[in-house]
Amino acid sequence: MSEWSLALNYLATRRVVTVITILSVALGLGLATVVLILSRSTRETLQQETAYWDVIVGAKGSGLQLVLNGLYYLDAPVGNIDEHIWEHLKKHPSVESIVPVTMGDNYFGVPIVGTTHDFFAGRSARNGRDLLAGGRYFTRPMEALIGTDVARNQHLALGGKIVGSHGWGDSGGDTHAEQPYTVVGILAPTGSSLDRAIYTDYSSVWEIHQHHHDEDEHAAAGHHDDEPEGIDAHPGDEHGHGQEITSLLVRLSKPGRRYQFVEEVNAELPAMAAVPVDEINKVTVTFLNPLRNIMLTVAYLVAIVSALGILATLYLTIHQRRRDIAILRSLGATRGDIFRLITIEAALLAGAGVLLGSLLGHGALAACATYCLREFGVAPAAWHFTPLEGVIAASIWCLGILAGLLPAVLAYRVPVVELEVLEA
Amino acid sequence: MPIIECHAVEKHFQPVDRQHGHCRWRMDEISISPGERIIVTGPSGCGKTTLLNLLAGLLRPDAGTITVNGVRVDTLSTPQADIFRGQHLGLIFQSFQLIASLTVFENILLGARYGRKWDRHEGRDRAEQLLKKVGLNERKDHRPARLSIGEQQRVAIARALINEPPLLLADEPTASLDRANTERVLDLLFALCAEHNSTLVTVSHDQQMASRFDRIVDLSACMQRDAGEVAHV
Repeated sequence: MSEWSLALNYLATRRVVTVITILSVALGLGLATVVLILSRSTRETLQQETAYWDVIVGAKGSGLQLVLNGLYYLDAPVGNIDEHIWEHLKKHPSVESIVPVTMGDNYFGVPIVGTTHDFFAGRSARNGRDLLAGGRYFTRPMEALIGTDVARNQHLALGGKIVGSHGWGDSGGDTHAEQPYTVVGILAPTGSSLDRAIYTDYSSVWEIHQHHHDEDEHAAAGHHDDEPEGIDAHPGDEHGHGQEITSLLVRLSKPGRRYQFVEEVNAELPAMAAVPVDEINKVTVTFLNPLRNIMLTVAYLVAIVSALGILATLYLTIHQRRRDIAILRSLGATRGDIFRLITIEAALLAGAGVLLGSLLGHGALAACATYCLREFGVAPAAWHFTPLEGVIAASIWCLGILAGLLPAVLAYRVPVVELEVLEA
Repeated sequence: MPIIECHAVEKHFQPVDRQHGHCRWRMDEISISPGERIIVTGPSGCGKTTLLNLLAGLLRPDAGTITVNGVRVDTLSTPQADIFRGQHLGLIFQSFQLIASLTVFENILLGARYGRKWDRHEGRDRAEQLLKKVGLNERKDHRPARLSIGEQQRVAIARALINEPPLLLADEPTASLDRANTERVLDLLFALCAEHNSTLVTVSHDQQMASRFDRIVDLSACMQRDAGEVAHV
């Protein structure tokens, strides 16, 4: 009969208190696990988009808004830039590839993005696999490639028709019923913004808006009341200019020259350039990290409270177990044996809580992964274990053991002869 | 060589009520040979349990020497006394002192755990053998609460004997039992002590039991209140 089995026996005897104590420890670690994985997955999702494109170019305004719109489709477009800027930057010696992103329409809130094949070629090369889950890439105007979330949420399949509405988000703008897109391909899940958009050739977006513009002129109405304020989202407008583009995604042959490139664009062109990774780092530092730290602090507090729970549980049981301790001492158990027994109980309580907490944290994220992806665009890597999680788990375990030391000392100091083991 | 030798042992007490001043328990000389069966008698408060506590190293004398199985018990530190109890002594109590949350088998194994004499397998083998000897093999997985009083005392005897101790100290082992169970428990104690040549020192008020022991030690005159002359054993 080892001290471990004796400790387990005592914990099993007080199973209600034991379960509550283990659950309180599990809650602390589970919360920390969820916070760590979510913040990590969010950061990775954001960085996934910024990893390939060195610079984004768009209308002058907010760099962050430009990045959030051009790469994540999370914010309204800043505005449009002239097609000539694309033509100009294509010839820049530092540019390896440049891809236009043209927006202005949506399908029930899902952005319709006009771009080129290069948009997918870069991603495909980076992922090392074809991005298509079914069908093919668009080859002709008015053909659409849809993200996996769009296919599922909008119940679209190959051959399905998409009628776009004018404007950003589900703003209820004019529909382009006479020019529907046909779904020719569905993208495989990526856990990125790719899942949440409809892609078509940029010329299709221009064509639709040219047609729309012609109709407007015909009706002698040159302005859309439903257009979001501050956005001149008419990629196809021609007021003596070329066609318009919402943003340009640029990959440089030498990424180290990105800041020089940004300076050049900002100084020489009627456009603004931003470095996506810098803008996202600002978001991470300004919002994500403080939020993560607040949540982790809450988790640590829960862990400390649960450690105090272990202390209280064992402290009270020492008083109830004075007789048993005396019996063990009369059988030859030393004070050290008693100290070890109580410490083992604390270690078992904290250890079970840590294991359960880790399982609960990862399990909860696995169960909510689909929901998180659908609602927040972040697919948590539910079963990914990080070193920091290991450090926190070990810290909580040690904290639990430390909490057991006071009751262990109390048990250690129980004078066996005063317990009337040997009755007078 | 005696298994127990006490010389001029004294233990001083402060009574709880503090009205009678200082109390002194004194035993001049006692010597017990291996294999002897001793019954310790005397009125309540005469220090019978004090003697057992001193022999077990649970109390330290204020004067005198106590040697048990060649070990000077009165000079042992607390950890040494703990280990000494596990290795040299078997203790049996009036109220059995079994651990309620453990099974009969686990209670007996506890004795082996802290006796530090047997490895895991030997301890289990010994516990199995003793369970058969005390007639409780069928109840090995029961908890003490499901046993009769007599059965609980047999478990306590098995636990005390699992390390084959040279000395068994029993404090009123039959006080909770009826006559039939008393005889059965005594038969068992004597048989198992004889098997291992263990010395048995039993504290009891039961005068009927005395005839079955080799020697009677009467402690009636050992305790003196208000510090005066004490009778000698």
